[in-house]
Amino acid sequence: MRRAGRRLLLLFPAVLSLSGAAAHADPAALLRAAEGADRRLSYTGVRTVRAGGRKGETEQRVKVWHLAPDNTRVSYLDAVDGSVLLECGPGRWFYSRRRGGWRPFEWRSSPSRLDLLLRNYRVRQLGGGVVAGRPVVLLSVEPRHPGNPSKKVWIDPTCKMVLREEVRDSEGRLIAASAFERFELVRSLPASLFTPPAAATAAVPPPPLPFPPLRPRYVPPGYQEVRRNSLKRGPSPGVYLRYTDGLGTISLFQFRRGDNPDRDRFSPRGSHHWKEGRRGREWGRSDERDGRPGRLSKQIGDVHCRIIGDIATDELRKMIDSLPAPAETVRRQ
Amino acid sequence: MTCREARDRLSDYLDHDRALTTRRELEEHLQTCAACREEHRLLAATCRLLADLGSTPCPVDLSRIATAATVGTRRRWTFPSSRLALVAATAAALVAVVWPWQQPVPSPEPTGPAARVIVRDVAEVEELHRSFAVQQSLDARAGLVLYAPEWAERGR
Repeated sequence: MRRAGRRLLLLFPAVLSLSGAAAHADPAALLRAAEGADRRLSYTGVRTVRAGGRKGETEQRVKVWHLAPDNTRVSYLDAVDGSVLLECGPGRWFYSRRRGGWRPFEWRSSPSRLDLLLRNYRVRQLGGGVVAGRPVVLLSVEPRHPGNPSKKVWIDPTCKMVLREEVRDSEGRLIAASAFERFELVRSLPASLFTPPAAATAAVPPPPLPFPPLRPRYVPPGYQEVRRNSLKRGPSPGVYLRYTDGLGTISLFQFRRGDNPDRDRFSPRGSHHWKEGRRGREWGRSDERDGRPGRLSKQIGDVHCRIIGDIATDELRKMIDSLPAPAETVRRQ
Repeated sequence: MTCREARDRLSDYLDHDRALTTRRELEEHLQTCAACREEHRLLAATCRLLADLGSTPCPVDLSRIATAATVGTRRRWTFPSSRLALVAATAAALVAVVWPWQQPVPSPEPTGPAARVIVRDVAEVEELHRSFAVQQSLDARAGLVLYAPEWAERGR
C-alpha cells in the first residue's frame, strides 16, 4: 500500500507536466490566460514599445514596476529620460522632467476584445524560444480575412505573461511591437513607488457628438464599430468613429468643412484637389499619392471624411465610398 | 539648414504655406535640433490657444473707419481731416489686436481632461489613430507608455 502511494507521488510531476503541455496544445487558451496575467502578477522589468507611423517609428524604452492588480510605475529611459508615468487604479499621473511637476490626466483605455479577435483570427503555436532570459512559447495570430494584420506573441508558459509581441500589416510593415529585455517576478514592491502625487482626475462624461456622423454602409468583414468620440479642429467640430476586428483598427474621422476649403490646414499640402462629382464638390482621393496606403480622404457635402486603417486600401475605399450623402446634400439634389 | 533659417520659416510651416519649398529640409532640421523643435512646439501651442479663443467681436466698427479713411472726400463729414481718420484707424487697429489678448486665455485644463480631443493637423489625426491601434493590437498600457509623454504635455 505504501509502495503504491510512492508510485503515485512519483507520477504526480509527470501528470503536472502533461497538463502544462495540454495548455500549449490549445494556443487560444494560452492567449486567453495571458490576457489577465497582468492583474495577477507583480513584476519589474525593462520594456520597449514601438509603433510604426507616417513619419517612421515611435519608440519608448521604460523601466516598469507593476504591483498586481493595478498599480504601475513606468520610468522613461532614453528620449524622455527622467519622466514618470504612474497608474494607481483608475488614476493616472505623468511627471514631466522638463516641467519638473506632476500632472494628472485622463486616459480612456481600450478594452481587450479577445472574443472578437478569436472569431476573426486563427491562433497557432509556431515553436518556442527565450525572451528576457525566460523560456517562451511563440504563437502566431493570423487573419481569417485576407488583407488584415497579423501578430506574433511570445508567452511565458509558466506565468502566462506576454513578454514580447509584434503586429504587422499584410504587407509586413510594423504596426506595433513590444518586448521586455528584462523581466523578473516579485512578491511585493514598496508602496512608496505607487503613492499618488495628487488627487486623481475626476472622470468627465464625454461630450455629445456635434453632428450625427455619416455611417458607412459597408464595413470590412469582421470589423465592428466600437467607439465614437467628438473632436475639434480649430473651430471645426468633428466626430471620430473607430472600428476593430479585435486586432486591426480602422479610424473614420469626419469634420465639417471650414470657410475656405482650399486653405484647409487639416489636409496635407499638395496631396489633394477639389473636383466636381456626383455629390457636388468632392475631395480628390489623391492621398494615395503620398506613398503610404491605408489613408483616404473624401468630401461629402460639407463633411470632410478621412479614413485610416492598417488594412488593404481596397477595403478602405469600399468603406469610404459607402458613406451616404448628408441629408442637407440630398435635399439640394 | 541653420537654426535661424529654420525659425524664420516656422510660421509659414505652421500655416501650411504652399510657397514653402523647404518643408522637407525644415522637418529634417526639426528632427535633429531640440531647440528649434521646442520653438516649433511653443509656436504651435500658441496658435492652438489663439484658435481655441474663437472670434471675438471688435469693439469698434473697423470697416466703417477704414472705409472713411480711404474715401476721405466722400466721408469728410464723419472725420474733419484725413489725419484724424488715420489716427482713429490706427487706434482701432490697435484695439482690435490688443482686445483678444485682454481676454482670459483658457488654460489647457491642467487638472482635468480636455472636454473634447483637439487635433490640429493630419499628423495629430494620424497619431490619434495610431494610439488606438497600439492599444487594440498590443495592450492598453503599451499605448499609454508610448503616447503619454506627448499627450500629458498637451493636456489632452
